[in-house]
Amino acid sequence: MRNHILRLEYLLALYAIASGSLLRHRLRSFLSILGVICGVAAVFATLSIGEGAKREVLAGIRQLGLENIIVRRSQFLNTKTTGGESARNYSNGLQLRDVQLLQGASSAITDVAFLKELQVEFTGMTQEMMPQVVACSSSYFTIHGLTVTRGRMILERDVRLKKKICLLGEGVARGLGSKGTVGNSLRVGEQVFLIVGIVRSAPLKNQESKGGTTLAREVDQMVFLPFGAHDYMKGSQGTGAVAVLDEIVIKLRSGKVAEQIVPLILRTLRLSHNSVRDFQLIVPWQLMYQAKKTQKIFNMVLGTIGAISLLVGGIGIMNVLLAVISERTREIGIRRAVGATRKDIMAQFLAESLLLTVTGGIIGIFAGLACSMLIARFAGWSVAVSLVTVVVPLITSVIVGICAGVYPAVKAAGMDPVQALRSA
Amino acid sequence: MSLPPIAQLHGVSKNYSLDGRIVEVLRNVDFSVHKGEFVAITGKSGSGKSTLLHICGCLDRPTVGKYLLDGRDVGVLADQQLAGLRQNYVGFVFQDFNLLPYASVYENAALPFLYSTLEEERWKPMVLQALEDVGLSHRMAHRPAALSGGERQRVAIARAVVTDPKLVLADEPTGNLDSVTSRDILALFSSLHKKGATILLVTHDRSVAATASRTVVMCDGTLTEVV
Ligand SMILES: Nc1ncnc2c1ncn2[C@@H]1O[C@H](COP(=O)(O)OP(=O)(O)OP(=O)(O)O)[C@@H](O)[C@H]1O
Ligand SMILES: [Mg+2]
Repeated sequence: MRNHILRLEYLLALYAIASGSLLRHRLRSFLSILGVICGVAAVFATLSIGEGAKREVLAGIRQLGLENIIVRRSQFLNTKTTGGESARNYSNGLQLRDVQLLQGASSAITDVAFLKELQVEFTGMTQEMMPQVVACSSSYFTIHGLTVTRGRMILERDVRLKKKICLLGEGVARGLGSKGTVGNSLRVGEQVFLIVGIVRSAPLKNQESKGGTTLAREVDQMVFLPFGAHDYMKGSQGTGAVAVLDEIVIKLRSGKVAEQIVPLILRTLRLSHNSVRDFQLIVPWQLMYQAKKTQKIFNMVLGTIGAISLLVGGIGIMNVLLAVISERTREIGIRRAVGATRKDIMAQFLAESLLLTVTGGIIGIFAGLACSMLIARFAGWSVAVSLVTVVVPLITSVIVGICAGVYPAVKAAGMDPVQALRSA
Repeated sequence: MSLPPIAQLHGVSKNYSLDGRIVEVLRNVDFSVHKGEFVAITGKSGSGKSTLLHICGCLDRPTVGKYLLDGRDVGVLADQQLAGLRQNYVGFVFQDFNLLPYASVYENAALPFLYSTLEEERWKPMVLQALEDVGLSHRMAHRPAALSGGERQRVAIARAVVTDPKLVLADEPTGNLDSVTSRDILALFSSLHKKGATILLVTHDRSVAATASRTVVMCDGTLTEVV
């Protein structure tokens, strides 16, 4: 048995034969691989954009906290009531009472935090630099996994005693310079609050790896007061029955129960709000689910385009190879006469098929990179090129090469050498 | 001649079925070629000369009968083993040269070694020697298209003898050449013969008979020896 087929020398010779043959018909070769180029480009784009978009969208959603449900104050959306005025009469917006009701609504709710945004102007600061002042419960920090770089958190006691203290975001502290350090006091409106801590604005990656959650707001540019301490400020609404909250964050035992808890929350709030829909629910778990679904559809569309292109491309290559074989029947006869086996002939045409598709694959990867960069630019998504996004299209093109090449190669190998030599 | 023949046909017949009719191309041929012989085959067109040569060269199989190449029964061998025999034991020269048009003279002459396990440093000198023997050492890098008919046939002869085969088969090697060039090519075969090659050559040229050690005539699929 001769096993020259595995020798490097032989493989190089096959490569030389294949590339020579393909270069002799450059235009035909190029046209035949267009389909493969498109297909591989689509596969590459699917993988790279899909991966990039997934990372970005999911990171954004995760920032909200997958086990949280966020209730936001909104313009009421009650369709039953016609006039805005009459609706407002029935509901006073998000109340502390809602917080209490929600806390006791289900054992799956482990914690509830709340927050009120305050309209405070700081003198001597530009509009962009203007911090957002909020009054919040102490649980707001624990639910969002916020930590301090210096000083301490707002504690339950601070809220209960309405202590005149505050926490600064790192950006605010930086902006204030030496005045923005722990122990100094900050003038908010007419009142003076003691700075007790600086809140860390952790980079995105760390948050993900910790599995912790951070609010999507810019912690960096925020000033936190204990809820109740804002009563001291002139013009602000009290904490009494009419105090309207801007946000309630409900922490669940796990994100998986969100679906069952959402109706419960809606029922609870509908009761206390006299069926006025003056709030909106943000369920990160659902958002993620939807984002993944959108992603899947996107992948399916691009994947289908890729598959069809590859199929058409494969057929194009098969077609060209069949033409090549009938052109080179005499050559097949010559090679067989000097000692080539059927396997040799098969290997030769498979090599040509593979060279075509792999070339198409490599061009396709670059085309796909260009495409995904364009799409990413217009859609505002990021592109993630990894080993997988390069290797998968390459393997795909090899598979297409083998599939498209097998039939022509077998056909060539099956030719009778005498008939091949007799051919014109 | 006490040695066993290089090629030995026993009752070989070859049939083709054409539109349901059976065409008998070779009928019960008994024929041997011994080592060192130069045998010329003549005969009418369509009498089956090429078919006989293809069987001797393991390119084709007899329908009936036995063919022994160097004592081995070719009928029992698989396709792959036949290819091995073609690569090692026989060399073909055709009427229309059958060179690869896009390969150089050197590459054409070296073609049989592509399908062998021999190392390049072993076969390269053999290729160079074969090309020198046919007088084409100076044209190695050229394509066949750049050569004259006679030169192309020399390349084909170099390719046929490069593996030092036991049997050289030539099917009307001068059929496409003018008479002067034909004489050169036949002289080349003679010199190969003198160096020890065993040659089986199909020709229409009566004068070749003079060069050959013996001549056989093919007529309607049967062979007759010319004494
Ligand atoms: N595949 C085939 N099917 C049917 N008949 C065939 C086939 N191959 C060859 N023949 C017939 O076999 C006969 C012998 O052919 P062959 O080529 O051996 O003749 P030849 O003696 O070499 O002729 P020439 O001198 O013209 O080359 C011819 O009549 C040819 O038509
Ligand atoms: Mg013939």
